[in-house]
Amino acid sequence: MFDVAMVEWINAEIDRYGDDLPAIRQFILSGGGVTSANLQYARAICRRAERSVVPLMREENIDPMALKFLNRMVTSKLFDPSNRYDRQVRLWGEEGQASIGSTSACVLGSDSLATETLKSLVLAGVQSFYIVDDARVEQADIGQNFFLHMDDIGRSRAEATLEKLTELNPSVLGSSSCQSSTALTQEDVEKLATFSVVVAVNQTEEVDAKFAQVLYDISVPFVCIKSCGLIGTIRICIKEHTIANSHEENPRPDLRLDAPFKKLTEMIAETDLNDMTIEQLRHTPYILLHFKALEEFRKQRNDENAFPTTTSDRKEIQNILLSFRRSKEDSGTKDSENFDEARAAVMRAFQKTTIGASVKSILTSSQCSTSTQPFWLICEALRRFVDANNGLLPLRGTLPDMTSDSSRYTRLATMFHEKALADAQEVLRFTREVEKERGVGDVISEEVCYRFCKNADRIRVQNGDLLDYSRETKEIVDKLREITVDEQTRAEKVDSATWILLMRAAGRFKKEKGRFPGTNGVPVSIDAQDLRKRVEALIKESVKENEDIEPILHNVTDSAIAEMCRFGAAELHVISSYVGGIASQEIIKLATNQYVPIDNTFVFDGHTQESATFKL
Amino acid sequence: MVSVDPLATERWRSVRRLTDRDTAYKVPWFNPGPKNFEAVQNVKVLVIGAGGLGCELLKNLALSGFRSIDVIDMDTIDVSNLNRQFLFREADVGKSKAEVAAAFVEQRVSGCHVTAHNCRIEDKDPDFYRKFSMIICGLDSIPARRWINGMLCDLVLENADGTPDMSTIIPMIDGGTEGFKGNARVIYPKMSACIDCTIDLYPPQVNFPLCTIAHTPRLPEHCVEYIKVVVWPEQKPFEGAALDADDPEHVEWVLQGALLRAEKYNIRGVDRRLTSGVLKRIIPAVASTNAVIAASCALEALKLATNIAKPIDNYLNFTQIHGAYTSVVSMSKDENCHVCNGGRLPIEVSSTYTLEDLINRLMERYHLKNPTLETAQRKLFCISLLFPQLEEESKANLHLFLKDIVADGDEILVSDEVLARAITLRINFV
Repeated sequence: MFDVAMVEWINAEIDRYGDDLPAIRQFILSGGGVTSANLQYARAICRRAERSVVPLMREENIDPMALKFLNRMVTSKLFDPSNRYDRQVRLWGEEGQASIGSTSACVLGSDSLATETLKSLVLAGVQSFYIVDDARVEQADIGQNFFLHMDDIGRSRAEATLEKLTELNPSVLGSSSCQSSTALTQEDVEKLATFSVVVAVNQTEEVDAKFAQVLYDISVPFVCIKSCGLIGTIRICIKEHTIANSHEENPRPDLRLDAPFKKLTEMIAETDLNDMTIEQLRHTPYILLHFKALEEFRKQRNDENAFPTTTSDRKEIQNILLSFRRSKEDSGTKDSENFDEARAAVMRAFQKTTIGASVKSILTSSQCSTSTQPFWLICEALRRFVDANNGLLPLRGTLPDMTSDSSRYTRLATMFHEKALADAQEVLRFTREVEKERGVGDVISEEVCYRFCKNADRIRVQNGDLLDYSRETKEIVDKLREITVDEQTRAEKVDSATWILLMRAAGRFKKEKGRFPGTNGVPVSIDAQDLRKRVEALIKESVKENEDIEPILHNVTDSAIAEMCRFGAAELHVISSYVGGIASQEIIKLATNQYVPIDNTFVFDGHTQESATFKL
Repeated sequence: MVSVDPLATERWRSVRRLTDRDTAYKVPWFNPGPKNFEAVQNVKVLVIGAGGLGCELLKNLALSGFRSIDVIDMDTIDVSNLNRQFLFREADVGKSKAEVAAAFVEQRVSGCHVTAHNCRIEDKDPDFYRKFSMIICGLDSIPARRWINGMLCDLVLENADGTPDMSTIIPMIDGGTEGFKGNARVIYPKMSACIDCTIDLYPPQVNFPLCTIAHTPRLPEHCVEYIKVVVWPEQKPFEGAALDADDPEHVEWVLQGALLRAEKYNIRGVDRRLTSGVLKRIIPAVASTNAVIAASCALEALKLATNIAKPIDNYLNFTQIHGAYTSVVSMSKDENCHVCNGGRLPIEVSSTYTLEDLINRLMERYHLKNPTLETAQRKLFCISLLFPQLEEESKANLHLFLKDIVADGDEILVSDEVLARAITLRINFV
């Protein structure tokens, strides 16, 4: 017989060993030593035993604790095979997964928008989450929140959703508190500010503002999400967000045509196109053809530093490339692929290696010369590297794919890679210097430094203002003033800025009347008049004393106001899922310092499925 | 004045706010009232695929009030699904996706009936598909999309005057994701742009040329492909078993071979993740993008069932790499689409065309993989293990001039694994 105590014992053992182990963030490969190989083997046997117990349970009357015991033996953290994250690690890398694995999220609210946001965070593998909400589960929750069951009616919603959310990923820790967000004291807020991110879901403006103030000063990201009927909004509030890898699509290749490094120069010098067989010529990687074309270009201009800067210069390069082809010897009629690639790549490849405006402003910012934050430590090192290297950033080191024989391509690829490593080493040396000067230990590892350098030409910093609803309403009103659309468009489609204003007006309606417009059985037409009054008040507060508000109000049509009342604070599951999905990914961007987050306000309109972003 | 919210204790309060109330942004034939929500509850919908999108779709539909849902998927659950296919647990690994997903949704959302079909879409006949009022696809394969698209176009009957009989049109909502990007679209078969009308939206499959992987490899992918297409068939490891990318021992074998080859050519970057990626043609996937695209599809399904708002016209793009961005574009119907035209089309060919020229053109135009071409009299081209005797003749035929094989006005039947049904081309020499 399997006693419950045995399952408890094994759980305790798992915890005991598990506590001594770092979190598992990588594939566990079998082997690595006799002990670990034996453990893997043992695990496989347990799994097999588990599999044979399952059909037995169906057909025979056996002790269900047996299966539980076996299952715990196999699925414990010690043996977790962690193939679970394979599909996403391909996107944000092991380092991204590790950042997510050390992220803790505090979520104010447990409605469907909150749980849909949490769902994707738990699946992605955050370290922990904490739900704060004092709501009780009602009938309507069952119709819109997937992490509740009919049997949960009357229970604490935070507790009931927590239970079902933690089932999604056994390695994520969850907890909840049955507290009202509006009743939180300053001290409570400061305690919650110890999480790596705080998410306010459908909270009042007062709660949003209270958290924003505390979190802004200590640079903890704060994400406010709201939904109402077919509309959803996301506002990301963070003083400064640094991006080490923006994952820019199709970045311009870093080929250094204007500034080849030493080994590359040597290989160019060795290369003589006229001395090649037709086979060799056809398999010459285009980067070498580019350099040879540049040599010819310089010869023609009689200027050894000439470099194509205009489109017509680049066309000239293309013509030179064509002249390298030995068409007479071509057996087939098709152009040889490497020349096609060379010609196609000219416009993007023949660009001076310069530092982009956003990187430049990072390197000259005051943060660079004072901050002890890891990002800024490397940035200062980067600045010193640039100073010491004729204004060049470290080489990216990845050679684009191009038609070639194996030996020349891999020789080039290797020299690019090695040069990138050497550059990164130099940046690391500068980093150590900076770390010493600023009295911090060796915070930047070699690996982090290398990855940073690979993306150095695309680093970014986003700066945001403190969340301030009255200032932001003013900015929205400014946008409304500028809308110029014809009457038909105005009648068919509500502008995104109008939706933001209407969301705010509905919030004020709730604050003043204790309920949202379109609820309590009040006819929509009556609430629409009341909501319109709030829209007018918001506009009046945002304009100069004598300004005529009619032209602005004109862009908040009666139909749009009535639509807000029609919603009656409806929490449509599909909208929660849509907006929660986007919000969770934004939180992952903030946690990983990868990709570019929304800067800073996003509005989604389910009528048209169109969206807009505003910087407020 | 004391007013009471009639929906205060109503489970479906949120959806009914929209279905019961009037709006300025509706489709013209919308009539607010309880009938609209009843329509949602009674309509029969089919979800194709119970993977990343499918799990989300089932949840979204169930929580929009749909309660008669079928789901079809032939696949079983793998550990690597668990980062997004949230209806599955570690203990479900190896079980049928359709069955586990259906059971989970039924258990969680009381009153919702989900019928699972653990089979291929091709195993079901037209009568099966005809039962549904709309079909929502969460697929990861283009051939499967083309197949169901073809099926739904075939189900459309014509009125006496040649126009489509509206009662036979089953709208298809299709979602797709890759990493942080996705799309969702609404298709009215034979009425609006279908999958094959816009087949060029899908990038052609990247295949490495054999000569490159055999003679001039330069990328880690080339090393893996070489082991897969050259070494495996030659050495026949594992007692001649076919290469199974889901078998870790097979992946390991390919990885070791690829590592040796990479070392020989001095190529960096071969590892287990890359190897399994190449072997399985893995598309990276995250929970969030699937959530967004499935919600987009389910929102359109809700609009179609209730008319609470206008459906999108007709193709939504989504990307979340740099900020978050959605946009809707209107794709046009291709008047020469072989699917919308019932598979019968004229084709203009020059008199200097060889059979090979024609085949190349068809492969590009219709994204074919291995087409078979035949006339009413004989097979012109067919490379198939089932008919090995035809291979030599087929290859010889490639160089023949078309005008020596068929006459003006003759028909050539083109079939291929990616086509739901064969295309009949009427040759028109110009």
